[in-house]
Amino acid sequence: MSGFAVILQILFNGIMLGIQYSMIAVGFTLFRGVLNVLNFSHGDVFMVGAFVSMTLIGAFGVMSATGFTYIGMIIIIFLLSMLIVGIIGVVFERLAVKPVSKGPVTMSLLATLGLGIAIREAVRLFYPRGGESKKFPELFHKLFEGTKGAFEFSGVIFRYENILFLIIGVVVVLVLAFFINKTKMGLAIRAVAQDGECALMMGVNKDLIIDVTFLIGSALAALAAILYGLYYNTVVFDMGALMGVIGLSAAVVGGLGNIYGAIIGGFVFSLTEALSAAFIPRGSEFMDVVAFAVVILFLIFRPSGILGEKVFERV
Amino acid sequence: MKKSSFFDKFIIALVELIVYFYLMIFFRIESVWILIITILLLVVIFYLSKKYKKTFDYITNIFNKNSKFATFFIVILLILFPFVSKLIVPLYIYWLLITIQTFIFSIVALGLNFQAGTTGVMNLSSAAFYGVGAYTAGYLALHYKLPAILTIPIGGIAASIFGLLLFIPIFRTRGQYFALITLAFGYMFVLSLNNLDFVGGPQGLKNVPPINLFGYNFQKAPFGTHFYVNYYYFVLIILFITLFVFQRLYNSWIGLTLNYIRDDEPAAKGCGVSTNIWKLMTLLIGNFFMGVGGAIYAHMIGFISPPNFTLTISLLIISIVLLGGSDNIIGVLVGAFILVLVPEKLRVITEYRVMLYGLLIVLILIFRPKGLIPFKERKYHESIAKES
Amino acid sequence: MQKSVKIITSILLLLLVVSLVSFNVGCTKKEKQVVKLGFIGPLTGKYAKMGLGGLNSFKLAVKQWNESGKNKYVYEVVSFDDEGVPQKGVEVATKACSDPEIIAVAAHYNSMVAIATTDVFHKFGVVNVVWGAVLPSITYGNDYPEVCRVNGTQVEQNEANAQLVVDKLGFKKFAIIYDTTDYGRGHLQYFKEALARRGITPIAEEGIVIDQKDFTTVLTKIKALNPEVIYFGGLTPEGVNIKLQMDKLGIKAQFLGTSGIKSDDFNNALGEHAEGVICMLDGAPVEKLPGGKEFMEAYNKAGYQEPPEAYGPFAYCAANILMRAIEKVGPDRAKVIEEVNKTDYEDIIGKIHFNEYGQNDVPLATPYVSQDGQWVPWDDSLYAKGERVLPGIAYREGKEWVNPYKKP
Repeated sequence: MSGFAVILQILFNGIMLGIQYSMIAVGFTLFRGVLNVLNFSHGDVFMVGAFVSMTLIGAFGVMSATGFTYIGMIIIIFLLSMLIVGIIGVVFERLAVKPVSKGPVTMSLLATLGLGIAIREAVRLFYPRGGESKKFPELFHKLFEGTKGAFEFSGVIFRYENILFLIIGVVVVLVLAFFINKTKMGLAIRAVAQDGECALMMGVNKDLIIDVTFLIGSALAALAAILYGLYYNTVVFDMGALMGVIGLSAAVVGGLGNIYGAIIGGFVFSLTEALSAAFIPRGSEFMDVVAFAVVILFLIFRPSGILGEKVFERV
Repeated sequence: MKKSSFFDKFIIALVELIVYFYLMIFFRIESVWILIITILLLVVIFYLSKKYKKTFDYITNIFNKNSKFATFFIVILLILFPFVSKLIVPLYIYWLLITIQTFIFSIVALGLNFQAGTTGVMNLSSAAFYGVGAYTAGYLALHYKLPAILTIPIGGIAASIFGLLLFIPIFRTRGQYFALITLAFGYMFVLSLNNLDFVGGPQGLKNVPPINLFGYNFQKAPFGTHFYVNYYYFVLIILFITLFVFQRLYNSWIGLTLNYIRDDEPAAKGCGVSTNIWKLMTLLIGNFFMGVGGAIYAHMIGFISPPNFTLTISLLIISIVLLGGSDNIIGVLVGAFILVLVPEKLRVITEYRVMLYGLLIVLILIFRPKGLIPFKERKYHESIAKES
Repeated sequence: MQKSVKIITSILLLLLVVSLVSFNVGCTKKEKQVVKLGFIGPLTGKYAKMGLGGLNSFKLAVKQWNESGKNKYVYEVVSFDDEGVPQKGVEVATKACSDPEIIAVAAHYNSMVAIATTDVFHKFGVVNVVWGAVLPSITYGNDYPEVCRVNGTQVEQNEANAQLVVDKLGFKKFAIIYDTTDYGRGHLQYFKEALARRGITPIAEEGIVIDQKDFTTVLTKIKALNPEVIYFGGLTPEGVNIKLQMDKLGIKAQFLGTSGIKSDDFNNALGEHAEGVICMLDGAPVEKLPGGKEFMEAYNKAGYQEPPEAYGPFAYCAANILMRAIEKVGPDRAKVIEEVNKTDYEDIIGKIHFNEYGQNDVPLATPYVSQDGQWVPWDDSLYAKGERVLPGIAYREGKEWVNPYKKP
């Protein structure tokens, strides 16, 4: 295995993380658009997604199913956990996020941080044995049964399921882009994001739009959580804390308020991590530190991000 | 006025004694019931204060008139605390430790209050600065054998200097972006601590020597009590100094300037206030006290590690400030008392503590964004005060 | 006004008197003298299973004493949760020590917690019999009589480890992964020393941070060096992730662990991926000792939900040591320290003798191998009998390894 292959392998792993980061970052960007809130509880909604899908997989008995029922169940589980988590996201929005969004921005940021901690601890306390790290079932195991589960290309291992994740990621981005750009609901979301009051005046049901946005954002977080669970095979109650900060950082790097920016930001963040792990001595330990340093630099020198528009200070 | 003065003082002493001994009972009884009874009592008192408003106003008025005596009497009671509690509370060592921790968190929260409350610089990495103080003091004491009289102020200064790292962000960003930067900063701090070998990585610094002031070792138990008594008095003194400094700052023209920046930064800029410099100043001063708090903690407990300084701790410190009422020194003390000391009573519910912090922050911000004791409008002149 | 003031004053005075009187509430003395024993371990969090197994075993011993009828005192267990986090450990150790009714403590599964709290026990003068932490310097690194240990250390473990994998199985290319706590570094140091005695230098040493989840970078680097054995000096949660990611990256090497991964949790979490993993445990295999069988029977009879895990028997012995000492000298902290240091008797884990450091110096360590989701002592395993082949050996010979795992 050559040095080049090592770097290639690390980059490929970075891309796998990038998919998950992007999906969370999109949520941050959407929420920020319609409510002017940096919703920190989003990372913990992501964690809830992992636990919901894990519970569903257990309840459905997917692991013992075969054939078409097996594939059908996987699809149902994906959709059902996205729906459930989406609704959970809307409930949190109604109860806590929207009420604080009217106050000063720093206060709402603080409130969502507090909400995130409450969600995290609630899972730890009330999910059976919630404090321990949980084994996430290998859902796609049977799809590739009989094969080696991976192919090797000049020393680099490409696992089939990882390639499947990549495909899922691309499909989701395309669907989302279609939804936001081509449908009426998408237009309404963009309208509310641009000017809430004006949209209200034009007959857009703003509260509904906010709900829909949180539904979509949280559902994406649930999808990211399933991919995370399948990728790492373990989930734990506090995994959302760092993921939330990473997702927000990715959104900021890409430019808050821009969906494509969020996606690009996710990959920028993950590749920064991967490259610093590969090239800096003892980099794998300091990769998060480097990534956060990059975010801070962005916040200072280009707060509008890679794709964002110029931000004007409102007085 | 003079005739009733002795009587007034008597009533003040009586009220404070009741609270004091009630606290002792609170410490003594090892059951959650005491907490429930306390809450009920507070509700009853609140109700009575509404019903017999006149008498209540009379008493508060007495306190306002004789504030010097009231403070003096509290100080005496606090000084006697270790000895009185030894007679009454079987687990007094433990409660002494918790009281000391409450004081340390009060010092740190006062530092944050100066930044977030008075100036409106939302610093979400207070635990990191608290940690810088702790690690600096611990490291110097462990590896260079520096005495605590040096390490504690150096810890504070180190926290200030570390805050200087944020000087570009503070010049270029504000509001939520600055809060975000401090958040990322706090994460970076803990992640780095976890990975830096010279400060022990996840293992932290252990066996930090105890404070040794002018040859007096704090590890000795004075008067047949316990060695924590030394720390109690030491922290009490530092707390008084901190209170004095912030009280003076708040009441001076500096405090007024900083309030102005918080309330309307562009306007303050327009009036010729160099807002950036002042914001940096508050960061430095606030950080100094956080660092001092951390340094004392390191010496007292003798062991520090990254989990002491995570975002959860930052949020605890912020909720202390918010719960009591930001920009209110008494409020911060009340907040520290409620959030650090009271949960220890809930040994059964300690598990739920962090969740309650989270919920509390949300609830306060939704229902009482100004805290339990909201800050009062400044009064500059007796005549103006009377008019309003 | 004057009248109302008088009323207030009298009410306030009355309140003061009431509060002073009520001091006598709630301190009725019990007839039999109750002695409290502290137990500290990770009862929640990542290491909860190990902590709960220890706590149950500890409680079992106390129950047996209280029911034996020979006891002078009634023992009561006060348990504290250190979550496997050093900072929490220091907090709860302080809490335990500041309760004057707690005479002695058995504390800690995690080495990094135990090393952090040694100072606390010394400051307060409370004896602590460590029941699960294996870092040598917990006892050898200081001269505190307060800190003793009933289980063995990393020195014996790693020597036994090297004996098996180098002397018996003949592996030569080792890559070491360790966690960067004192515990992981200890394993690194003592395993390296054991290898050095056999003239071997490891080809890679990689530190990982606990709580980290993604080890692909470290493993990718190691893969490029083609090691025969990957040694992991760390605990179960990270061990599970490393083994899993190792398999996903297609690394063809033998996975070798320490007592840190000797837990049922490791097998449960990995399923078939655990097959053929080797680990160590200090002490003789409890299952084979006569006392051990009785212990397991009593444990199952008591109906605890969690299994005793690797260090349950040691926690059981720690309780016995403490209660033996208290029975002899009475509930006095200072005297108990002295008495515990004189420990020399036979219990379910075999002979227990504390040397001048308070360390149980009956040196023994047993290798285990994971077979069909169970840890089996190496000598009894199908691998030692030649019925199955270790993955490392198959790969060394250039063959593909077929996982012989059968669902139990």
